[in-house]
Amino acid sequence: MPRVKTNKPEPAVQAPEQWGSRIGVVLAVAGGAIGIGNFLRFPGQVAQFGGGAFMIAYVLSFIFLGLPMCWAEWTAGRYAGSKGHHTIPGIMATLTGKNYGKYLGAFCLLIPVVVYCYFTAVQAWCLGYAVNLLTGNLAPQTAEEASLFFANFTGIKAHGSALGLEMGKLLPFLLICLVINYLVIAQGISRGIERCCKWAVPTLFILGIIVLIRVLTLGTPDASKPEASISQGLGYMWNPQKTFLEQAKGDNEYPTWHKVEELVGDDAVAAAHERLSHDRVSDNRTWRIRTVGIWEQLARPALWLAAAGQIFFSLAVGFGVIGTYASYLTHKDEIVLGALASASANEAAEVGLGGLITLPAAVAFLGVAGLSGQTSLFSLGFNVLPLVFTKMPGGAFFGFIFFLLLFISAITATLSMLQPGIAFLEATLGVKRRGAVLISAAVSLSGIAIVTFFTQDLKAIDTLDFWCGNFLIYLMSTVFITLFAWRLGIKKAWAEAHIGADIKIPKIFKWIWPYVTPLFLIGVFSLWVSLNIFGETHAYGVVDTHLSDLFSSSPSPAAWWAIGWVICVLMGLLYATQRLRIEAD
Amino acid sequence: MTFGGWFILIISVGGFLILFIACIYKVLSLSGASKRIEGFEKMTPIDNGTEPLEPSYATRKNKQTRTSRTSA
Repeated sequence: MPRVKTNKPEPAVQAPEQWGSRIGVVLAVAGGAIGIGNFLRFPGQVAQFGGGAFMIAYVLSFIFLGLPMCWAEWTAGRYAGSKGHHTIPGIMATLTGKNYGKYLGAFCLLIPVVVYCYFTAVQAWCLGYAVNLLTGNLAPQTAEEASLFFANFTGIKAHGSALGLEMGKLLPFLLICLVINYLVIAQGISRGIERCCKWAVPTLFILGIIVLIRVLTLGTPDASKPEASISQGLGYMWNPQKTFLEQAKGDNEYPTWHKVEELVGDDAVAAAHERLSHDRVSDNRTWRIRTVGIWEQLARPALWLAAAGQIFFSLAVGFGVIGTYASYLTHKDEIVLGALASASANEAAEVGLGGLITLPAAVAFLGVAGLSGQTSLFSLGFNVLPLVFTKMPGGAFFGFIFFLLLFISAITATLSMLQPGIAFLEATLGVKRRGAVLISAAVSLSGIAIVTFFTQDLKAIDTLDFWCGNFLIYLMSTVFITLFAWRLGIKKAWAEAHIGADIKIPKIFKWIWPYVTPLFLIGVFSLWVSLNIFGETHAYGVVDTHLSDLFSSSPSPAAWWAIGWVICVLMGLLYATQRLRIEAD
Repeated sequence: MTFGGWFILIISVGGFLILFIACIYKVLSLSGASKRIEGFEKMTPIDNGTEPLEPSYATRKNKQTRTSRTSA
């Protein structure tokens, strides 16, 4: 007679993890999306192309690329989760209904695993800058001093030079970040990620508002320099037209015009006209003042690539993290409003805080000319802003608050990148969460070691970001949205998205999902490859450095170490994916 | 800052802020709508014509409960 236990439940099936509350998952996804790009990359892009043109392309990219991708990832994630899959390979296999889908998913999973490794280093930069500003170790008086601190901190001058344990080095802050990340992620979905994001995202907004109030009340810090003011800074970013003073070079008949200075505001333009006429140098052949309007900017492919890329990376679509988070939802949970809420939270942080803090503050102290075009993410954040905070009254405190804000946004982003790998290890190896976290930490630490050692010219970070953080994301996102719209099918996807929905997706998206978004993505990806791999000029024999680092006669060892590590991780993921128990149709 | 600059700034920041506040308000105010969601699910079941790739947690648990009852 078999022994029958009637009073104890069967322990064989372990209940899957779930989110604790509806606002929790919205804040977790928003936290995964809000990152340093919102505060440092976005303002630089707006300033480069002018507020009017950039925002038109940005809003269109949000509607035709960002929102459809968000809704698709939330829908695919919950759909796969309802079938018991919480891994990216599982989600892709569910979409395709075929076994090959899980191998495509392994390539998608590579993205958060790799990006986590170098993003943790950037997270440590933010923490390090916050602490050093507060303690007074970082108080540059000149641009050279700010650059020197950045070089010493990140080890950009030589490989291995960031490995000291001093306050002015990366390593101690990196160790703190790793401990925080793994302690939180080990607690699980509800007790770890959700609880952390419920605290972190509102804190992030409060800190942002504190810094915003400080910046907007700066006025004109130095009355003798009226060209350096908050109003000028806002104009530099948001004025619809860009006006440049340009100088002719080369052939007299067909000269090439080079931008010498950007002129912000009517006063600056009038002063430039007067200066040119007074100096009698404006003979229309050597100097000119040129205004670039909205339509001229909109005709530039680079603008569309910048706007679409900003939306894409800002909303964290294509990383697979939204799908993984959504897989822990059930059909009782709403997703259409949730997706829109998390996307709008990200946009509010980006446009409402990022668009008003960093560049206006920089122009208020340095002027447009003093900024010298340093509007890229790393230059603005880690060279220009420390200088600005040093000049600002109460700057040490506000600088600390600002970099703390960046650090908190980086924590929520890194958590979102860890979860897909941990869910995958739990599913494929059958280990419990703590075991999966330990294995994930071991794999990540090998990548972080490469990123932390090969720091000269930030070569390892740059290589990983280019091939995995850009190329692979564009490629796999195109594959994902195509499979979602055409393999799962719009009819089924539409019905799945609206289960339990509080709001309805506008019907036009039935047309946008299968046609506009995939074509938009293919266009952006082609443009990205064209501009970044073949170069803007497409000159014969000119090869992009990311290619020449790998395939020239003198390849970069740092680049090859980074790519070699990526290949090893990919092999491991593909091998483990075989163990995923997925029955094909 | 020109008039056009102020216009674009206010429209951009205001638009996204209004969207954000409206969404969060709706998420928080509709947080107790689980009964309505269940009703909607029963009314419009998803019929995709295929079996799930892998038995869901609920299916596995139901099957297990049935097996233990039969054994008992």
